[in-house]
Amino acid sequence: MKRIKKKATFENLEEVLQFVKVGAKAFGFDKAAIADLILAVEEVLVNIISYAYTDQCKSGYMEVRYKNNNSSYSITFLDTGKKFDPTAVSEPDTSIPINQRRMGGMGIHIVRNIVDNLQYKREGGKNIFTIEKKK
Amino acid sequence: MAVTLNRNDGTVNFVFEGRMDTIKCMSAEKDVVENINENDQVVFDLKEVDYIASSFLRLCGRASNTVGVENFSVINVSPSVKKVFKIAGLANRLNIK
Repeated sequence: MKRIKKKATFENLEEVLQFVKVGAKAFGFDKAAIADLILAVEEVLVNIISYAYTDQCKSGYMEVRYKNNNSSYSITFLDTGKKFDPTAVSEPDTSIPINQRRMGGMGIHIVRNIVDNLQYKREGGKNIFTIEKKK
Repeated sequence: MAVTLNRNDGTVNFVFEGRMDTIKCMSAEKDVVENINENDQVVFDLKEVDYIASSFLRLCGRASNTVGVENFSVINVSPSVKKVFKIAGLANRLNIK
């Protein structure tokens, strides 16, 4: 398993994405699969950066770990922000015309459609969210 | 500006380049919002774009809501980008070419 831990800021977003990209390449994903995975990771990290620490005066960290076995690559996101379970987010109604939709809220929906598995747990004051993509 | 803008006879053409990730979209949103009004036709040209994050969908929503969905179009969309519009259920609800 490899890990990176950074302050949860937009300035650190690209570095964390590159970290995941290196791992995905080493795992053997093709270009399209890597692009999908990076999109999913970006959406999760943007949620952490934007919302995890908004109820606190201090900023916090985002930690990303990845590991792989023969057939799948899993990425775990950890933060100490307010409790947020992405797996419990309701599916948006994509049949609604765009001018009647709430702007935003598509990130987790995109993640769900890109990866094969999602898991969440709250442990030790941390949000621990894992996504898995199979080869 | 995060995008190139061309205005001609009420049509505002925004040409985006590269990866339209969250940070770039945040910057582009200001450029778009400040340069369109409800009487415009707005075109987002994605010829040089190979990646969009969900924040780009929000940008499309803002533009579309300002000028009306019938006056908003997204052109030169690559298959990988179109996939994101499809996931969001927008591929058939916006004028995407």
